[in-house]
Amino acid sequence: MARKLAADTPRVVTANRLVDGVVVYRTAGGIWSPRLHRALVVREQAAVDRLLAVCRGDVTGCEVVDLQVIPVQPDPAAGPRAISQREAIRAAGPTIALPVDRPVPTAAPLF
Amino acid sequence: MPLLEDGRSVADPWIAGTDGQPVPDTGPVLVPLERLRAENAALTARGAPLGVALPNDAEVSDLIALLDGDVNRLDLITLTLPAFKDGRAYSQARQLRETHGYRGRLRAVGEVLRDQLAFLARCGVDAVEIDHPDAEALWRAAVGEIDAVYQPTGDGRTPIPALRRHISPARREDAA
Amino acid sequence: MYQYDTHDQALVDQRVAQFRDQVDRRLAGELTEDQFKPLRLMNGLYLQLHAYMLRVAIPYGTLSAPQMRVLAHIARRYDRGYGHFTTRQNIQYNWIRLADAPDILADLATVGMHAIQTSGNCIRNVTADPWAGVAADEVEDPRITAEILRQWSTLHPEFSFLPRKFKIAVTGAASDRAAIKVHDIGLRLHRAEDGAIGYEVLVGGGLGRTPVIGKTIRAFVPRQDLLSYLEAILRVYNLHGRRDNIYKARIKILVDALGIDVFRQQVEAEWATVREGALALPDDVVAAIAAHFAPPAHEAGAGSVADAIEAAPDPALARWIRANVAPHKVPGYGIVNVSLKATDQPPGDATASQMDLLADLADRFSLGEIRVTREQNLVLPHVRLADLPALWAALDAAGLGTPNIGLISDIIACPGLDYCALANARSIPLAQALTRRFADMDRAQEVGELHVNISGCINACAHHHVGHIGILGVDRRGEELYQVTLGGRADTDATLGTVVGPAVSAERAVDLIAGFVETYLAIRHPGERFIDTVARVGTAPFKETFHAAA
Repeated sequence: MARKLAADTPRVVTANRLVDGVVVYRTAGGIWSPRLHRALVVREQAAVDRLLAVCRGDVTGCEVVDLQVIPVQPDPAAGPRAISQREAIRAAGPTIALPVDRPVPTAAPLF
Repeated sequence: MPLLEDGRSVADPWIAGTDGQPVPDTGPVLVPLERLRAENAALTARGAPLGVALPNDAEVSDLIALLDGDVNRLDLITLTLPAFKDGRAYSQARQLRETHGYRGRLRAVGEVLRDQLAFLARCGVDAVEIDHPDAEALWRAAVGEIDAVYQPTGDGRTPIPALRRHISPARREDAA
Repeated sequence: MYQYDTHDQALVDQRVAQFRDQVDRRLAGELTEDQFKPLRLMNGLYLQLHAYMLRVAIPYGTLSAPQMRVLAHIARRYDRGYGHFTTRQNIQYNWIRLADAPDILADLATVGMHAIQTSGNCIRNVTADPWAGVAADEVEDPRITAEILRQWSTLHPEFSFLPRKFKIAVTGAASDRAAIKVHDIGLRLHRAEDGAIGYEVLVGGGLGRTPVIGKTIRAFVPRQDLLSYLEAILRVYNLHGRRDNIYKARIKILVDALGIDVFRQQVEAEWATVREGALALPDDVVAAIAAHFAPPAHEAGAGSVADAIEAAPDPALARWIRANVAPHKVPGYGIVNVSLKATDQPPGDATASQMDLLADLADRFSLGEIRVTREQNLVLPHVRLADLPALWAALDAAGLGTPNIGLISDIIACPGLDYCALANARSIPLAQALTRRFADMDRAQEVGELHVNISGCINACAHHHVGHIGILGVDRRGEELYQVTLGGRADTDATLGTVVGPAVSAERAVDLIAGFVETYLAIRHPGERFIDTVARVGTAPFKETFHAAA
């Protein structure tokens, strides 16, 4: 995570929402969206720093926690995509089928 | 920063006797452990209240040895909480109170948060410096939040296992 | 089973109120995340990849049917309809909202449950033999001791800010099913020559980054001195354990740095100051707690598990009994192990409906009791052998009848990178691939006992170092790879596994394990388990498998 990024790497700012922990991304409109493809992509360090400074206000304001800057694969049409497996999973959820709470046959009655 | 003793806000009469500064002839003085080591005789001969700031990596037994076994020559010992999660002072406090019978003030300094006051009090700390506009109310709320305890410590509270013994049928029969 | 009295209940209720206030202060901005994080962790609330995760304590892995129903209710009401049973006999919920956490704790408190000390640098939930009270080889039910320790360690004022987390496990049996040698403190109940009950105390075991087998610090501590002796160990650790490096902060590092003899001297010196104090355990206090664990009223019965296999009308039932039912100390009863390792199922996961069913089945067939195992399975400990067919039918219909306890598809796996913020690689998909590869249960029984443990990072939540086959997920320049160890075991003869070969892809790991099994089948002596063969021949023949698979 702390890997050094090349100077002009496309990046987005991500965090978790304080109230429920949901993964969110900072958009160009200045809101936090659960969808990575809506995230604002920044490249220059100065732009990253400016964006982070704004986002820190939302940490202080208890909207989000755990701010991180992550590298992304930009795509002008579809929006940015995650590069690392970890970020892909954060963006899209677990890679496995989640257990589904189907009704099960109940135990035969006692009497 | 407000100082609480037994949950009450008080003025701090203690003068810090930091290294290199002359110790005043009268009045309570709080010195670092190393100064006690270096000027033990002079500080004892002073005839005024003496306190020691105990670093959290110091052995309580070393302090006791410096005091010729009589920890009650001191009127104040401060314990250090450099960070919320550094819990050495809790053990030092219980060693001072319960193993060595220290009866003077035991003050916690450093990063003291509301959410550790109850534990500190249970370990024998009776004074804290805490940064809060209504420190007295904070202390009251924090130490009273959970009134049932399982462990016997030097704070004199009756732990749950002892409470149960007092009401258990076997004990009632014993008493009868 | 232990029932809370008004004192226990008052404490848990007040703890819920305290945490509700802490959450309120956090949401209102009165606490920063740095201040709040240690507070939420002390109530088992983590921030994971997608949401908060709440770890609920199941003390010594024992649950009543009403408690299980509340666990099901929480899964349904506050999560996504399932929960994950862990290697520490707890349950974790993966999709929790911070704002709901106080309500969840309040619901848990209605059945005497909580999340106290399921995280943080404190004495964690005490674990014990999942067959406590029913195993035939037991000196005493270890839950009596574990409950005494639960009370002593709960909100301990001196030991809530230790250098690092602290785990205690207890066994009362000759055969260790609680992995006491890989805990910070392991306790083995045994009798002195005069018949008095006491403990062998092991210290400094653990897995994680620096796996160590615990060492005996005292061969016998009399029961009345247990708490004072543990308090002495904890105090020495609290004062002298390293706090400058999180990776060197566990007690095993301190014991290693000082040497067990010097560490023992320090503990003895501290013990001398507290031994005669208020921590001495009076016999009547022990007896009062022991009364909670008095054996339930079993019906007079006869027959053994072997008889039940013989009598089974259906070969599938016989196969299930053979794999999943263990001898009970009372004739006519069996210990039923319920596998949470169906083919393709994430290991240890159970849905709310499955939990509700298990509660009903426990009421009907197991005197209302359920256990959680270190292997992430469940146990119905008191089942009449005559009831096995009906129980099996009900379990099987709900996907809970997999006959693979202790077999190759009974895989222990942590949540891994699919959920966990610490993980480097995924665990569950590899476990699922292995269960598919070894889905033939007849063949699995032919292969016999074989523990596969998969951890998604060095923290070793799935205890991979002590798996017969251990798998550690690593991240090599963005690629998920898996490092394989052989020959580990967590039982009475606890041993750390040996790394074989370089880390491989998940796909190759499955092939490799299949190769290991072939090698074992080819060279095993009659009656030899996989782990015995590895102990006899070492890893060399298996390394050849490795090259052959390349």
